[in-house]
Amino acid sequence: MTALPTLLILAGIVGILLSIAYLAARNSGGSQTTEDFVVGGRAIGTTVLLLSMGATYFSTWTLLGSFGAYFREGIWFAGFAVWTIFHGVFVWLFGTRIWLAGKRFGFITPGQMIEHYYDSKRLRLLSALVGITALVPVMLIQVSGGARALETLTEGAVPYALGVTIASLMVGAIVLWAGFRGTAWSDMFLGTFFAAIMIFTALYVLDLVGGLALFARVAEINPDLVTNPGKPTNMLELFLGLGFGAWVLPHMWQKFYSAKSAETLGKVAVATPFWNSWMMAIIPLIIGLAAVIPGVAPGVSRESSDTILPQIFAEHAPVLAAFVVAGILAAAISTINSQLLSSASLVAEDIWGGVRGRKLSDQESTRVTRLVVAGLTLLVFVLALTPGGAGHLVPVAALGFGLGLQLVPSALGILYFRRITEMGAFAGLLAGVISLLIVKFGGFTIGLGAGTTGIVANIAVTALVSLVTRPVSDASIENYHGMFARYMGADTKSQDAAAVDAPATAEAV
Amino acid sequence: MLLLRRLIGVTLLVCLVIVALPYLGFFADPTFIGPFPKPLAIVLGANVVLTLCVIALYPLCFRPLQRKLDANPVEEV
Repeated sequence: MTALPTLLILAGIVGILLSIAYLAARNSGGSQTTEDFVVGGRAIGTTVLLLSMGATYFSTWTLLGSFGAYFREGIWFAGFAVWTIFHGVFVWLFGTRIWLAGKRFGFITPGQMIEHYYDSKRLRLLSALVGITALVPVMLIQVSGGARALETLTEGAVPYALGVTIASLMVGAIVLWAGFRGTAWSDMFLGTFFAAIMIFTALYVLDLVGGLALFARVAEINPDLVTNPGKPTNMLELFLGLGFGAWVLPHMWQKFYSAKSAETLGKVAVATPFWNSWMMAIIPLIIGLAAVIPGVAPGVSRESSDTILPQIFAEHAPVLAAFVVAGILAAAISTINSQLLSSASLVAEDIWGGVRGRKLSDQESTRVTRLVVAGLTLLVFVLALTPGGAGHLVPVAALGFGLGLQLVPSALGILYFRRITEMGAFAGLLAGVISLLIVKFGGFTIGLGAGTTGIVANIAVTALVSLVTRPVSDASIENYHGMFARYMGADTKSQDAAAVDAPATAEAV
Repeated sequence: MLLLRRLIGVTLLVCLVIVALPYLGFFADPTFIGPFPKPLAIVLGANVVLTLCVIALYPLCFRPLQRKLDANPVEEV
């Protein structure tokens, strides 16, 4: 791969991203409130929200790792397509309730809702710490992984340090300059860009291998790849972490806050299966399995299977390979920017605000969030450049989704289970995180993965402690569960009328 | 409407169970249904049904919620 086209295309991407950030900042009218900066003023429409959520969820791992997973594991990994369809169901089950409560009480972080519902500063602080611990190492791995892939694929034309610098500068600039709106708009561009690469590649390789004869040809070469070998606990761990745990991560939670209306969320849910499953999970299945067939991706082995996509381009369309390289960077940036903004808002609102013991003013909160964005960008940049620094964090990054999963019981207390108490949620979260760490780093196991063990312990402790401790206040029950019942109960005519005629006292806080 | 919602809920759960079967040793062999190996055909079939279920959530759940919100907007505090 020659350096010049790659550098030109990367420069083009950088130029487009800066233009988007400029337009987004101008669209915000110059002076952004914290609500504008962190959740887009709760005015994000369907297309931007859908592509932003999709691009955020699918990282460099999709453009590199999922192809390799299908290449190595065959159709066993197809369960991936099912979890991602459930993301659409979760928009209804959880997203609409989060949006509703966020809109009513003006929340911009998950911790604010947790403190308000449970009347607990310590639970807010703990959930913020868990959220950041889940997100920051994942950001680091995106930067270092993307930069390393760029260096390898361009055979050194884009050195590792340059890749890290471009990714860090772009992410920092977009988030600092234009906040949530800039992040969402750039996600829309970046997501469309790497989706186009994936669709083009899938159509190309299908044509190359004889269409749906692909599976029969793979079966002739390696029958194991079209057999499901089982391993149910492995699939359960993946389902819980990457599928069920995705909605509760702070940056996804804040995307629910940002929706313009319930109808917007509905349209996002409807489109989610097509974007998340049919495109981001089924297309890698086609490409990953096609790479098994001789001639499609020569030279790819189990060890190098994470480079299938660039290898296909290098073999069949070297002139387009630079776009794949840019696509990898696009995938990294579109994932990190939301995580960076979310982590910064958690530090500013939940931790800094908690330490100060008072609610931050709008200007103060935006200023602290911007400072933390700059600080975290610098931290990620420095760590990514430290020899071995990123490598030491890889095991922690792998735990990101497992850690995020531990926030589920506390969130379910707010959204569904009124019997979960503050003490139960706090003890459960602690037990879940400790169990996860013991399994991951202590070598102790009960036959389940670390994330699954953590959530089992978490649920058990949450339930037991909640049985013997004081429930949340009646005001919280009415503010949340009462509101959800009024708006989201079954849609019968009488209930519609009841909702319309609901007395003011029932709505009052 | 409530019945339809429950039907969607049951269908989602049934699809999850069906998808889990190949991971538990059922329908896991590499015989083919049309151009697809059986375990993959099961996942793809479930995916089609699940996609339809998610699309059905819009008229069954989101539209009624939006109607209620239009009639009785959330009181922001």
